[in-house]
Amino acid sequence: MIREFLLKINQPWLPTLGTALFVGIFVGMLIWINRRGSNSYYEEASFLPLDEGVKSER
Amino acid sequence: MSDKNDKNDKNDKNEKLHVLEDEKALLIDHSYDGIHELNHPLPSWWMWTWSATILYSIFYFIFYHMVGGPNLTQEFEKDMIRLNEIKAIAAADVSNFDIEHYNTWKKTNDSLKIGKEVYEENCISCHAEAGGGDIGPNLTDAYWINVKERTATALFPVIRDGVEDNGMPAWGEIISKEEMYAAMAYIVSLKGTTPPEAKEAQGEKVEEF
Amino acid sequence: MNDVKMERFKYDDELTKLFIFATVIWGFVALLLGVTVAFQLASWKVNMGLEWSTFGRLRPLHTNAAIFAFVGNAMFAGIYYSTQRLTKSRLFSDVLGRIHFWGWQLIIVAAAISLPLGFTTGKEYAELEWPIDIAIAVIWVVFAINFFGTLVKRREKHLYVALWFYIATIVTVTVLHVVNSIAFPVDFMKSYPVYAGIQDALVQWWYGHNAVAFFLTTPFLGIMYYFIPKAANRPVYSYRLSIIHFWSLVFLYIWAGPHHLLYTSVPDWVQTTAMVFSVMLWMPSWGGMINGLLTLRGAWDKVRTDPVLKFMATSVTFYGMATFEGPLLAIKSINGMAHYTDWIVGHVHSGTIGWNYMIISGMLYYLVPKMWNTTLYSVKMANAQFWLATIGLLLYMMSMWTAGITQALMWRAIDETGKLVYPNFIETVVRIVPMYWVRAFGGVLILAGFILMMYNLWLTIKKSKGLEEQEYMAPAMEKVTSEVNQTAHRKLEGLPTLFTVLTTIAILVGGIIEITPSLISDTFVERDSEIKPYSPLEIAGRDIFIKEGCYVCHSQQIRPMPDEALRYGPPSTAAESVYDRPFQWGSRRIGPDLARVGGKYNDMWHFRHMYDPREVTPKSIMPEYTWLFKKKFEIKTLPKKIKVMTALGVPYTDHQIKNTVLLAQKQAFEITKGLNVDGVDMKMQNKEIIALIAYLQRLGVDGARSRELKKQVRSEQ
Repeated sequence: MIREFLLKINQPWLPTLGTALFVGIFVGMLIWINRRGSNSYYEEASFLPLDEGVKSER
Repeated sequence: MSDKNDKNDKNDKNEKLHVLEDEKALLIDHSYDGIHELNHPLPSWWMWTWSATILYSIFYFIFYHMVGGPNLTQEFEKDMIRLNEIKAIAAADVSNFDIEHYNTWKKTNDSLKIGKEVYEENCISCHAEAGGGDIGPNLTDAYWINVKERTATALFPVIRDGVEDNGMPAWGEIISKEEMYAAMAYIVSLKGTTPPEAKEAQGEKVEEF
Repeated sequence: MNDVKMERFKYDDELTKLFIFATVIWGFVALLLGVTVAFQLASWKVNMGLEWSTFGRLRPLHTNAAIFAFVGNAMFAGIYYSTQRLTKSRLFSDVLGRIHFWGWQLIIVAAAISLPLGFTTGKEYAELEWPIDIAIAVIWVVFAINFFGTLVKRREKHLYVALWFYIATIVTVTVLHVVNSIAFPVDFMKSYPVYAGIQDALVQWWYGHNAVAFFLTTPFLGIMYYFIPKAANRPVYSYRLSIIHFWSLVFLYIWAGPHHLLYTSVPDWVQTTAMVFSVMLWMPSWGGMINGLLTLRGAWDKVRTDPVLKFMATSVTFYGMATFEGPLLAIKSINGMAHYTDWIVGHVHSGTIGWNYMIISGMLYYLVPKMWNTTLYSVKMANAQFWLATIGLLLYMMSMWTAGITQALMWRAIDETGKLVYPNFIETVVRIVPMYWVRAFGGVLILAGFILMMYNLWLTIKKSKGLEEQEYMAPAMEKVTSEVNQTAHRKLEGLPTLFTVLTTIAILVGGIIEITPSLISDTFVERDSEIKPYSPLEIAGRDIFIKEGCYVCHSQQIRPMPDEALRYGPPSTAAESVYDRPFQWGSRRIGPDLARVGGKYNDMWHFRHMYDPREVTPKSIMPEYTWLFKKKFEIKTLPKKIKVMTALGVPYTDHQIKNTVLLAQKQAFEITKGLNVDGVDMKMQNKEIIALIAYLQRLGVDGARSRELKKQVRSEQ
């Protein structure tokens, strides 16, 4: 079944497109979370009393 | 039984082992060089997924090897039957050389430009640049091994079927009819030209120029 | 407590330090080789025009250095350090430890010399020739004695999970190495495996896959179980899970070997078995990942700041990724697309770099400051290495995914007239060369990070004021445990001999079931009377093919798929490789498959192609093989080779055995005469190129003759 499907794919540029999308999203995400001014958000978030977390000694 | 020499089990900073509230019940009372273990149950998603893979495997194996599922050779033969049907249609299309069709094609396409491209992609590795010949014979001179005249009608079957004994591939199975037309147009145009390196003549003299 | 007698002892940490030095040095060498061979694929000129530095000869050097020199030494460092502490006992024998260390380094040096010189068995990850194989076995036994001796001397009655993994490693590697290396020597640095064709393929990949499992994975799972809880100061997540995943892993892993042989001519049922066992292996592997990561619950803040935990947590994550990708690639239809492509190469490196390189880095950052009684010189540098390694690896993986799938799609593309869309193999190569550059660049980043680590560790050691050998105290092991209500497994953990025996049985089962049929395969490998042994000259040529590492780029096994039938010819049969020692089916098609190249091109084409590939294929990335035209093919050893083949069961005639040299010279003369017509000098007749041409022109020819006859018979019926 998977075989039939894979045999029909005839576009060799697909993997390149896939990689480009992946990199774009990944790098975009890195840029987004490192925007200036967002540091304070993450600082605060790290102190949330999450299930696993033991409050880190600050 | 807990270890009797706790002072050797703590790490160098003498920190107490970090145990969370909800874990205290699961802590096993044994340690190895300060390493403790909890006894969390097996995650249920893990058990379900593993069981699913085992079930899949059993059914897969039974299907393919016990109740007559196709083996790889049978699947291949099925695919080849389909492919050969398609190829038969295409082969029928090139089995006879239609000179009208060829001439029409030449008029409506830049046959020499396309022909040179086809030549360089497929023919140049044996017939060398501009038909000079190397592993295969010289296509610019008056001497031919497999044809009696430099015409498309004579060349077509040689290109389509190849010459097995001499190592000339059967291009009819590899390139399209139009590509063969283009190559022939180009080869016809090579008559009497001077390639950069010309191989000495092979075969019989069939042309005068 | 007062009446328990305390024994005093010290750990042998000097040995661990020796192995740490070796790890770092060989790691650099292995990575440098990796970067070199990566650039050789991106640009053929990096082959440097010398016979000792071609891709075919350096790639095995890279794999051997990475596996045995880098990962091997790291494994020994981790095992020696942790085992002593987990058993609360000094190593069984300091002397054996040093024999192990120096013996292993000598083996590596022998590999570094012999492989570029072309002394190779032609079997992946087992390229080292028989004298070195014997040395490996001896040193491994020394290691085993030292390890098990330490278990016997232990003061801690029960074995911690890390030790279970070490036991499995030592036992399995012994079995794998010995069985796969059984060979009949021809001379000091040349041998032929006792196995041939599909037997050799099955034994080789039973070995090859389980080298991954029991050399690259299990020892490091043990190392993970020691170093992560220690570094995080957290208990291991689940003892129960460690039991289940250990036993399921060591049992299931062995069966997966033939997933390297899907769609080849090995029996269908073996292929299916390998596939389904690989799929069933997914969760057991993830058991390790779960235990590794969830041990860090409550210590995630440390993961952000401590390089040790950063590397270890990331390594376990990549381990999880690779052990999902592996079973995925073992599914037949997906394998049909991925096999022979760079996707597999990407998968390999997500494991070797993502898992091994990273966990080794974490382990080194833990051990070096601790053993030299100081703190790490620079956490910033360690973080820089982390990012370089991660980004480099991501570039590696993504470029290889792209290259692999692109090439696979191009190979199999058939148009509506039933013709290949890309009939010229070179088109598929040219399309992915840009990805080779990206991968090489990723490799440079990884190497750069490693160099940073070397520098960091060196400065850490330099600033150390030394650590006096610490003395420890512990009571002797109880003869009878005072623990109550022990589960069965708990009891087993106190009985290392029984544990070892059970582990051995677990790992033997899969191998025996999958291999035994092929060892008694006379009934089941279809004999084909048209398949004849290679002539003496062709054997000489085959050995040149192996020596130059041609199999590293060119496969020799056509799969039963329509696009391969169009491109290469009818699928390979088991009968066709029945005399192949070693089998040369290959794992990668950097260049086209050669199983039926015999007769496809004439002798002159091959003559030209080896001298300068770009003369016949302008955009080729293959190196030039000019020395084949200067060096004479080995004729003195030919009679011995034919005799060895005969002893191994190849049906050479008495005439062939008695007149080996004459037959070779005659065949070489005939070939050269044909080339002479086109200007080749007759004095080429004793050169290696002629032998190689003879071999290449034989490939697939007997099979074709056989098929012609079968067709004739069918049409006459």
